[in-house]
Parts: sequence; structure tokens; C-alpha cells
Amino acid sequence: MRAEKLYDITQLSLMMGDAEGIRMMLNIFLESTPKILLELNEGFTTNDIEKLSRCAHKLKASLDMMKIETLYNTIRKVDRYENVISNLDQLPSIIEKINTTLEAVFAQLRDEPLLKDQV
Amino acid sequence: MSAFKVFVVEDDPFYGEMLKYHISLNPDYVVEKFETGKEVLNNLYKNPSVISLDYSLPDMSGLEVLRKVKENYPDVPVIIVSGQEDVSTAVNLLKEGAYDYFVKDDETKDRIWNALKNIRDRIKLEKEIDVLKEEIGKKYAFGNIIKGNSAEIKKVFTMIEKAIGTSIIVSITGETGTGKDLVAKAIHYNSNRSKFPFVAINVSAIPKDLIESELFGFEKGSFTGANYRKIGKFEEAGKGTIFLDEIGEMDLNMQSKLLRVLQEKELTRIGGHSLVKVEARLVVATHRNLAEEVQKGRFRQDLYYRLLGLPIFLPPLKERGNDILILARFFVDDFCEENNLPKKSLSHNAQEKLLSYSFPGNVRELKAIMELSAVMSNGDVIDDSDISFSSPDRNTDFLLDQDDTLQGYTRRIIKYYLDKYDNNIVRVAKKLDIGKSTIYRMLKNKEI
Repeated sequence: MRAEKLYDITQLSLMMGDAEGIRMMLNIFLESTPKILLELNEGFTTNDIEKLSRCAHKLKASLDMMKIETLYNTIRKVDRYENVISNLDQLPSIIEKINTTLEAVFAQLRDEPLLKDQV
Repeated sequence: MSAFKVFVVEDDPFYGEMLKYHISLNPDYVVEKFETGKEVLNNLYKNPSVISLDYSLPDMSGLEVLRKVKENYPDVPVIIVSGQEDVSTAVNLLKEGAYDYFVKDDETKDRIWNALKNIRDRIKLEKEIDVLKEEIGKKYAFGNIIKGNSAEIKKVFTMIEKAIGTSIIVSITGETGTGKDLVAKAIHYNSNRSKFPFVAINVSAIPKDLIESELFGFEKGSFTGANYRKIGKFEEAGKGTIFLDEIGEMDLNMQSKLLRVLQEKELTRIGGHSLVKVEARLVVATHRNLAEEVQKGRFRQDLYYRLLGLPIFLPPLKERGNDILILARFFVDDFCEENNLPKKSLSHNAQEKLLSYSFPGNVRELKAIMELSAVMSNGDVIDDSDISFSSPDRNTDFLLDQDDTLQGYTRRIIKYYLDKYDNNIVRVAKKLDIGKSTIYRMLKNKEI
């Protein structure tokens, strides 16, 4: 049984207008998001809340555009310094959820027909 | 129109690239992307048409970037596109001069598209206004607006030059059609007030009950029908020029109100309480002799002295000698150019005819006469037969505009009345108390 798709590119398609544009954005997402995620994890492990929140804030717009609904509220719990502070007790589970969801999204994206079609 | 340059400042590669791509879908837009505040500030010399700025940048906040842009390039619109959903942040940025504030969501695409279109339209309109202002400036440049080199008109030039350098009230007098409004415009558009409005109002064209609200404005609810606040002409003129044409027609009650405004240099809108500073320069004009109007009690003496300022008298055309021919040639050339007609010159007889006429309608009449003559003439020369005078003001004056014999005068009088009464011989004979047969005989002998 195929896992439920964690993202939806309808909004992105509207914004970009054509397949070429969508493909370009999906590639950028696959290239840039892991780097930001890595920095976010560094912020978490080094207790650098400033760095953690800045990375989460940076991710927020991309995740919204990709319609990754699972992370809609989660990312907003850490996208600002004061939000991180008020969710400190849940922080490990929040970071865990962001990591696992995004890893799954990356995997699903690699199977995205639009990307497989590219030469 | 030069390229419409959009700077996208966004540190998130995904969102930044998406904005860049989306905006670039319009082939008229040239988009350049930057990831830090420092980068965009270092590139402002490229004169962007608009900046789309992310609020959270790695090296500085959107607010800091906005302030630096506004400090050095205040006219460049900055749109903040941010993940911050905090209203107070948005309000603060708008107060600091941001053009608009969009939260990154599903609507961003349309919002940014519309904002760019509006900014582009506004820039286009502003450029058009600049061009028009420049054209108006050229149009009202001295040499273009008032033609002639007679001693009389040179005096006028001297006075206009004196008026341009100061803010003194200018009072222009002269017969109808001498170009009083053009002198007012020449003063305004050649003065340092030319960037501000030129507001003209013809006092005689406004009912006396409305003139106060036209000049000073009114507050909402100040009288029945005042459903909105209206700004008066003095306020509308701002630091520009207000031109009150036919000031001699203003009623005495209004004259006293105007005098007070000129003395206090401030006014109150009808129904209002707050004082509005009057900074406009005043130019007035009239075809009446205001000194005589004062003697007759129709014009306030104190206002007369207040308005006198720098008096400019525009001589009637008949006193300007060869200026008639200079103007006639100018009007013909102008008309031919506008109507794609070949250039036409004036024959000797045409020149003689023009110089012997009294022009009761002055320059305005000459313009109409010359335009008609250009239409009537068949070749490239305008002859005396192409020129016809048909001023409604022609009364007995026309008899004296050239020397004639008694017989000649008689012919001209009968011809005048035949024209006036549609060749109704019975009526003309009765009017002149002569026999019908006299007129018939003259017609038969081709004397008239």
C-alpha cells in the first residue's frame, strides 16, 4: 500500500505556471531544505535557540508552499525565539517530527513523476 | 520606458527563487535576487524600480534595510514579504515608509503581482506628469507665449520679468482678448512656483453666492448639501499661483472677505474653525479700470491698494503697430503646421488691411481672423480678399479705422447695416431713414 502523500504541489503549480517552473522549484527544495534542516538540528543540539528559530522561520514559507500540512502547526512552535522558549519541554519531539516528516517528503519527492521525467 | 527592475531580497533559496521566477513571468520585468541586506544595499546604485524585501535576513532585519533604502533612495517603493504574521510589525514597517506588507501565504502571488502592476502604472503616470510639466514650461516660456517687439509690449516683458523674481501680487489690466491669462501663466511657469499648481478662476463666471465656497472651501455639514469637505482654490493652489480673472466683477461683500484673507494670509473654510495658511501667490486681472470702479463705489479702495502690487498693463493690439503682422504670421504658421497645410505668406495688401483694422477683440480676434484666412486662401499667399473682419463689437468704431471720403463712409455704413440685418433692404432703409431706392441703386451700380 502506498503511503499518503505528505505534500501537495497545487499551490506551487499556480505560482509557477508551467511544468518547467515546478520542476525547478522541487529541485531547489530537495537541494536547499536538507541544508537548512541540518543547521536547524545543529541549533538544537548546541542549544543555539537563535539559530534554531531562524532556520525554522526560513523553512516555514517553503513548507507552506509545498502544503506539508503535518508540519503547519509544528514549525510555528519554533519559528521565533519566544515560541521556542515557550515550547522548550516539547522541543525534542518537535524536532523529531520535523526531521522524520521531511525525510519522508524527500523520499516521496524523489519518486515524483515530474522529477523522474526530467532529462 | 526603461526596464522595470525588481529586486527580490530573500535568504530562503526556495522562496526567493519562486518569487523571482513568478515575477519574471512578466517579460517587462527584470528581476535580480539578493540573499542578504548588505548585498542589496550595495546594489542600490542600479536604481531598482521596486524592492521586494524579506523581513528576516541573516545579517540585518528588514526594518534596518528599509530605513537605509529610504534614507538614500526615498522614491524606491519597498514591499515587505514576510513570514511574520505580527500586525504591529506590519504597522511599524508601513509607518517607516514600506509601500505594502504581505505575509507569505497562498495570496502572496496575486498580491505581489497587483502591487508591481500598480507601482509600474504609478511610475508611468509620474513620468507622464514630468513630461507634461516640462512641455507646459516650454509652452509658457516667455518667447513662446507673448509675441512682438513693439515698445509697448517690451514694457510688458520688463514688468513680467520683475514679477517672476518676487512673490508680489500682480494686477493685470487690458481690454478683452489682450492675453491677460497668458501673462498670468507666463509669470507662474517662469517663476520658482512652477512646480506647484496654477489655479485659475474667473470671478465673473461664478454666481456670487458660490464664490466664497469656491475660493475658501467648506466643511462637511456646514450648509444643506455640504455632504463632503471641499478644498477651496486658495488651498488647492498651495505654494503655486492663484489667478483671479475679472476681479472687478467681485461683489463688495466678497471683496471684504478677500481683503481679510490677503491681510491675514490665512483663511477659514466655510463652517470650519481651523485656520488654513495661505501661501499661494496672487495674480488678478480685469478689463475694467479699477480706479474708476473705486470712485463709483463698486470696488473697495482698501482692496484696490492691496491688489495693486505690480501693475501690468496690456496694450490693445491696435496700439502695437507691427506686432499685428508678427502675430498674424505666427498664427498662420501655427495653424498651417497643426493642419498639415503648406506654409502661407501675407501679401502686401493683406498686411495693409490688417494694419488698418482696429481689432476690438484684440489678439484673440486676430487669431480667429488669421486662421480663417489660412483656410480661405487657395495658394501659398494670403491676400486681402481672404481676410474678413466680422467682429460683433464693430459699431461706429469701424468707420474711423481708416480715412475715407463721405461717399465711401456712406457705402460702408449701408454695407454694415445690410450685413447686420441679413440684406433686408426695407429694414435698413427704415433704420437709416433713407429711401429703399437709394440702396437698390447702389446695389445695381455695384457700389456696395
